[in-house]
Amino acid sequence: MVGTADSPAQDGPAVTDADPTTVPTWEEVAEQYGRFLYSLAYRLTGNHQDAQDLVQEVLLRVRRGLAGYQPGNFKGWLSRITTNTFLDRVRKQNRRPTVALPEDPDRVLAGSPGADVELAARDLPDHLQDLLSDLQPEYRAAVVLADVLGYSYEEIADILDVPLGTVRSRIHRGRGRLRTALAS
Amino acid sequence: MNAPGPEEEPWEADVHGLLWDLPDVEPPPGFLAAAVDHRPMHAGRIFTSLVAIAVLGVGATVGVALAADGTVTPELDALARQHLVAERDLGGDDAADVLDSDARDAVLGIVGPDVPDSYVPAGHATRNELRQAVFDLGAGEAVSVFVTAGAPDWDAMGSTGHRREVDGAMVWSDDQRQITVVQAGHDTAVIVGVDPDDAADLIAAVAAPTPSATESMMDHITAVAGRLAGPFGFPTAE
Repeated sequence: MVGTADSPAQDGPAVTDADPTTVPTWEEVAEQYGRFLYSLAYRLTGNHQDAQDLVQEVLLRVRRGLAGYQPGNFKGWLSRITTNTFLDRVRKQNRRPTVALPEDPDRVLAGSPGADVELAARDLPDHLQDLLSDLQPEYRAAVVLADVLGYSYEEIADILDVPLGTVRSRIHRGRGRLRTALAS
Repeated sequence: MNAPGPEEEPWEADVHGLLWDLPDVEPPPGFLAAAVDHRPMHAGRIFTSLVAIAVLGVGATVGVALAADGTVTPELDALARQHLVAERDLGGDDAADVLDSDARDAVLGIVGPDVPDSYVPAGHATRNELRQAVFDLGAGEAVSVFVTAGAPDWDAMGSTGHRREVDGAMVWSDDQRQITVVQAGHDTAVIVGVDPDDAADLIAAVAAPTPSATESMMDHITAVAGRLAGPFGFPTAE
């Protein structure tokens, strides 16, 4: 359970709670965690307008959820609300049939066998954000949680409520697509 | 940088490192101002609060867009923000003890007299042509009903919600954000803060024409009937 787990980061300050035993008020959430929420929302949505809308909705959910929150990993709880709200919005906005996630992990690396990623030659980070935004939302959420926020696979499985193997494959495929895009 | 899992391939560490080094993204100036402005206020100060938000620029949008044909497209994000401010400003105050009878009447005058008793009038505000009634649900939760003149432009509501019927009233609802758009006579009403499935009684109250609207409609019908009666030779009422 994310809401009661210890801090997930090995050394990343982005997901450590100042005091995991206390529950902040809603005003404190907005004040102390607003930038964290916004940064995560931006990485998920890829633009400021959608990030603002997402944060607004997240704050609404946080407002209603605080009463039942059990002290624990508060940023993990916020991350869970933010990513799930993001995925909910994407699903609602995509009225068209969704494209099934590929089952074959090799598809990710097709066309880039043995290619080395020329990491330093790109105009990062905007370029990287663009590529991140091109990922399917499910891949993007998993990759952001793992590689931007530093959550473990087990914690991501809990946050996204999917099996561990699904988390592993989504991150692997998401990274693979980023690698291919960076090398192209 | 935290290390990727041991089962990962070497190239994954490169991608992981790139993403890990992405900088934090700052929100635009003023965006979090409403959220961090936690001055204690009670229901009677909601109007002041809304004005303050407008000054900050966060809620500078009027909240509705008026089309040339007179139909209305609510700007739902702006209204949701205004509702959040009102809900926050209620704090733990007992709204029934804060509002006097005139203020309660003013709240009900915006929505109509049939609002269920569980919705306690808590405050109201008017900016431009947009009126906001706030109801206290207890436990720090509130519902806002925004009302403006003009029928809703159903085709412009966006894809985040869907049209549906609630107890005979045609509405558009974004269940995720707890926003419901209702046609209230010749007006558009937007209910924010309650799941439409839990608020059929409120929706019905909002959708029902207010007494003033009913009287206005009766006057209109009487006048039309009077104009028609003459040419067709029907006797007109004295």
